[in-house]
Amino acid sequence: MAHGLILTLGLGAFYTLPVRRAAAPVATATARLSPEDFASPAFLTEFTAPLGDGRRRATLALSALRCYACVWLCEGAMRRVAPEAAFDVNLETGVATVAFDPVKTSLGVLADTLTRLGYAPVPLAPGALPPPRDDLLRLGVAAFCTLNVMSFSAADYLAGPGGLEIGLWQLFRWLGLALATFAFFYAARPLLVGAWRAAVARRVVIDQPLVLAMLSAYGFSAYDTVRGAGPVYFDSVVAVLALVLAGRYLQTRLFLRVERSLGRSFDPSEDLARLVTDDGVRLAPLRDLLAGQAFMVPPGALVPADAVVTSGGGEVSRAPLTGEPKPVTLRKGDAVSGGVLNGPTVLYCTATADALSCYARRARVLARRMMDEKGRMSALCDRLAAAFFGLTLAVAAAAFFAVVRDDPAMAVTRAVAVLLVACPCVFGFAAPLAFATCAARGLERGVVFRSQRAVEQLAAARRFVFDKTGTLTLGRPQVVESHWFLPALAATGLAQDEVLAALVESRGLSDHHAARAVAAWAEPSPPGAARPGLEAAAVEQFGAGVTFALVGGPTLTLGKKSHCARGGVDDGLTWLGIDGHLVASFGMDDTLMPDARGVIDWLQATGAAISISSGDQEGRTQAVAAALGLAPEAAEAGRSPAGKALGVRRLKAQGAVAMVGNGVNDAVALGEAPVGVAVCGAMQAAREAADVCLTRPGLAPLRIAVAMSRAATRALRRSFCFASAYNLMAMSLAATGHVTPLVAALLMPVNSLVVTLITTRWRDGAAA
Amino acid sequence: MTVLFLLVGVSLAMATGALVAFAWCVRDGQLDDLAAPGARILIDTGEDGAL
Repeated sequence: MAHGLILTLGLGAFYTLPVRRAAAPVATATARLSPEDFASPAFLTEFTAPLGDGRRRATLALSALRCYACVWLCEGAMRRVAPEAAFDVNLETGVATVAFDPVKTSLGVLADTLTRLGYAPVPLAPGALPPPRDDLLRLGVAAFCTLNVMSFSAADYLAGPGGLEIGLWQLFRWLGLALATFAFFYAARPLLVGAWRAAVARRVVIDQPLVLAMLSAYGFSAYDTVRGAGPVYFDSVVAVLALVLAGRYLQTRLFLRVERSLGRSFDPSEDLARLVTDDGVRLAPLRDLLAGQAFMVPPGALVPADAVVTSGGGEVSRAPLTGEPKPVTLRKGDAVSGGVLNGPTVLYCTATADALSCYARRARVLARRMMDEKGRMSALCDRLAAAFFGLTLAVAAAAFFAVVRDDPAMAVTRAVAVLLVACPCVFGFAAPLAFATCAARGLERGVVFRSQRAVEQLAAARRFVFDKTGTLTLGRPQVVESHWFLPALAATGLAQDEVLAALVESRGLSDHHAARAVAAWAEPSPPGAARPGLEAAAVEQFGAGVTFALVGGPTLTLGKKSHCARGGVDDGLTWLGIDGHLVASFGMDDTLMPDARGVIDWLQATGAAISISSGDQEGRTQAVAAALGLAPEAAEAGRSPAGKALGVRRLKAQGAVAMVGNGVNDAVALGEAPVGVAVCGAMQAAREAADVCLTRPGLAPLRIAVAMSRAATRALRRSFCFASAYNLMAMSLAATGHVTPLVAALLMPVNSLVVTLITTRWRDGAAA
Repeated sequence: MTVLFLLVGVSLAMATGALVAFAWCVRDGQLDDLAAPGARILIDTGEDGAL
């Protein structure tokens, strides 16, 4: 399909591009928003921003953007489809920006083309996550000043004391002062402001020793320049600044990429509702869905508000809200809660309360607020820096008071030298480097660390609380037993293999849970059997099951007994019928993630305690605990969302806790835990509340995440130990007056280099 | 040695020029994506971007 479109657009050269690294796109990604949605007025107001000249700008995260060939294809296709719109793709972040005139260009056409090419676009909020241009500019200014100041001081160092003509010597010092002032008050402003704010709030952060060292060295050197005598340290000051800003910039850029990659899995349809009005169905922002209003829920979407079903009832899953994996059937007149996942049919409902007041929505808001609160907690490197800061101050004070009576000027010189060679730059960039390295490696292996605190807390976690449904288990029914009625099958004239083949073929035709589960079950058996050409001519889905009309006559039905045979009474089993005859029955249950046991065993082997906190029934929860080799008391069933959060809070008092979950009912607990992990396929609310998101299915990425965070934290501690030992030595030299500006300028890079190597070249030991 | 004063001025002026150019590039968004432009030059395209 994508291939045909590429040729139609005259972009066949795509297949011969020299830069193509990945396979051709396959249009499999399903868009949660239809092209019509992209063209709707509600979309324009919610997801685009005015540019001032009548045009608007949309920011779209493109899924599956892999290499430059993809960029070429998207841009080429957009030039063909909407030549008047300015379409720009950023390969690094995977985000496209479109500047377009809503009158001339329909965003729907653009979205439709991109989706059919295999790059389903996901709209991001306008102005979200701008590129860090200011940070880059500050880094550039710092680097510019550093190189120039260094060239001036190099002349001084090379010529030796008194080697330079006095006028030139003075000029170099004044130029150094001018450049350092520029660097200090433009490039270092965020550091100064951050340190000041933290000081006002009576907190110790890593910026403070940095700023104090730079400020004292800068002030002292400025004083020496004005009086025309004594040493100046401008080169060291600006070099520290440039290194720190470089580390911070790398980190900012990386975490921006992290947030953008999360944006791709963001589901904008959760922020929109489909109102049913006299003029038909209209897409609207959630806040417009008020009590009493009629709305519709497309298949596979979340119900946006607490409501009553008015027509079109079918199967829905309450798993995201309660952790119950079994679908429930809704009929006309039934009440439904916001946040319930709709099944394969369209639901029409009337809201009983405003959409913004339903529990799922409030949980999301609450979890997001908790996430913000957590961001302000003291971080590991800040604590280490605080300890070191105290030590540095003590040594500087000792150096000062030792000679202040005999020679006040020398006392100040030595104290400044101590502060400067303590090389706080290591503390300034060791942590950003270690965490950025960890986050970058995680991105490649299916783990998204959203902050530096996330890495730190996951490494510290000694107790893991797991949700059950969708986290430890697959979260949807799987076939666990099957029974064939061979005489009935023989009467239909079809062989068992033929039927199995037809079931496998039906995969992808229906998103009914029974059809998907049976197709997945039929897949591996019988291996290598000749597949007769059974093709589905038509597929119809009902709340109770699916009907496949096969080419050549027979009709296959799959679902409840009443769906497959006239007069059948539902018995909890899923039945397979051929032309109205029952030929097989399937028992369905939620099953464990294939890799769950291995990961749990590994976590326990590393000394972590495991518990399960589920909203599901006691029996099913205990069965999962037993299958994982956990003691019965480690599993708690029937937990409400608040109960889960309370459990986490109680455990938090005993030590570092990590919560792993996927549903709306886990969101508050994820926010409550020092570190929350959302597994692949988690609901939006859970992903927003989590510090770590897994992007590959199963629990194996959790093991990678834990191993990686522990290794990164270890590397960070190691680099701090090294830097402390090194700094103690340098400080004792400085305190005794052996550190001149030249020695300071030489000591620093060695230290920085070793710390860079330690924090970026570690191994995590987790199997890929 | 007075020529050194002149040379220092010239070198600073040149460096400032480079800094201004860099600032312009950053504000223009030319450094927002460091991945695609490197590959872009490998592909010959006509006026409209087609091969």
